[in-house]
Amino acid sequence: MAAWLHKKEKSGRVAAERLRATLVCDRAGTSSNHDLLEMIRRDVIAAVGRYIAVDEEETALDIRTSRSTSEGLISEIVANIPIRQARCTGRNRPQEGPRPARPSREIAPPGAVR
Amino acid sequence: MGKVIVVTSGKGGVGKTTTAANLGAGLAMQGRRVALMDMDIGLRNLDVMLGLESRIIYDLLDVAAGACRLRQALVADRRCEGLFLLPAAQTRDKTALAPARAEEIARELAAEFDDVLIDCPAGIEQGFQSAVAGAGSAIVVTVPEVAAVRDADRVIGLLSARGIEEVGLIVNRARADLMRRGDMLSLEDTLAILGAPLLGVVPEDERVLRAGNLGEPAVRDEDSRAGAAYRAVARRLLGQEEAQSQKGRGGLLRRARRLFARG
Repeated sequence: MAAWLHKKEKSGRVAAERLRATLVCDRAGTSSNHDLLEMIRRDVIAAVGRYIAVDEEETALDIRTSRSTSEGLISEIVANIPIRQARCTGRNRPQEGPRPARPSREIAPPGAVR
Repeated sequence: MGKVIVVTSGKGGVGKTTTAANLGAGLAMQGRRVALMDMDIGLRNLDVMLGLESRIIYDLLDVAAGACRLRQALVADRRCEGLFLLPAAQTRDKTALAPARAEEIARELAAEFDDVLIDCPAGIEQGFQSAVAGAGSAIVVTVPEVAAVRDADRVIGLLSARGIEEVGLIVNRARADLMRRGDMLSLEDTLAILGAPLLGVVPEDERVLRAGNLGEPAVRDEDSRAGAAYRAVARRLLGQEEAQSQKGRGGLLRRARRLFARG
C-alpha cells in the first residue's frame, strides 16, 4: 500500500504535491521528470565542471515538492554534486582555455542513462 | 465586434458544455445578445443541455459548406431572450472543419452578437485547434482532481502558445465538505498550481443533473447553488463583480467559501 496512507496525510495535500511534481516535466515538454532531470544533470555537470572537478557518476538531481514557505508549498530541484578533488590552483577564476562543449539536448535512449 | 470566448478544459467530463450553456444563458439574462457555438462535432450536446435538440434544422458544417446562411442555422432559445445556438453537426467528426473556416464563422458571429461562447471538444487535437482559432480569450474549466488540473495546465500552456493570454478559471464540482476535511484539492492549491485568475467556483449540485434532465440550464434555477455561481460568473464576465486578478483573488476565494457555507 502506498506510503502516504500510512502517514495519514490528507489526500488533497497528496494530490497537490503529485501535481506539482508532474507539472514540472509537463511544462518543460519532456516525457518524464527523469528525462528532464537527465538533461539538466548533464548541463549542471558541464557548468560546475568548468570550475571544479565533480564526480559525474555520483551527481544526482531530484525534484522535491515539500518545502513550505510563506507562499505555500514549493517544488525545488535538489542537486547532490560530489567534488572529486579540491584542485588548489591558487586562483579563484576559472581555468582559461577551451570550455567543454555544450552537451547534446537530445534525450539519451532508454538504458543509456546510468 | 463582440467578444469571442472559448470554453475549454483538455479533459473530458469536467463540465465544459454545462458551463457554456449556463454562462450563455447567464449572459443573456443580463441583457446580452449571446451566440453559443458548439464545436464538438460528432458529439454535440449543447443542444440537449439547452432543450433545443428538436429545433435544429441546419448546423455548423452546413454553414461552413455554404449550404445555408449563418442566420438560418442559428436556433433562438425562446425561454431565454437573446440566446442563440449554432449547433454542431452530429454526423461527422472533429476534422470536418478546418481552423481557418471555424475562425471565419466565429468572426461572423462576433459581428452580430455581444458575446460568442465556443464550446470546445475534449482533447487537444484538431477539434481543439479549430475551437480556439477564433477566440480572443478563454474560460478553462477544471474540477479539483489531479488529472483534470494537469490537463487544464496543459491547455493553458497551449492557449498561451497561441497568443491567448486572457484566461479565466472555473473550478467546477467543488465540494466544500471534502475540502474542509482535506480530501479534495484545495482552491488555494489549484489556483497556485495553475497560476490563472479565478473566474468562479461552482459547487457540486444535484440540481445541475436535474437541469440536464429538463434541458433548462441551472443558471435559471433560483434554488440551484451551482446556478447562483454561474450567475455570479456571468456578472463577473461583464465586469459587474469584483475582478479577481491582483488584490481581488483572496476576496473572490472568500466569497466562494461563503457560497459554500450556505449549503
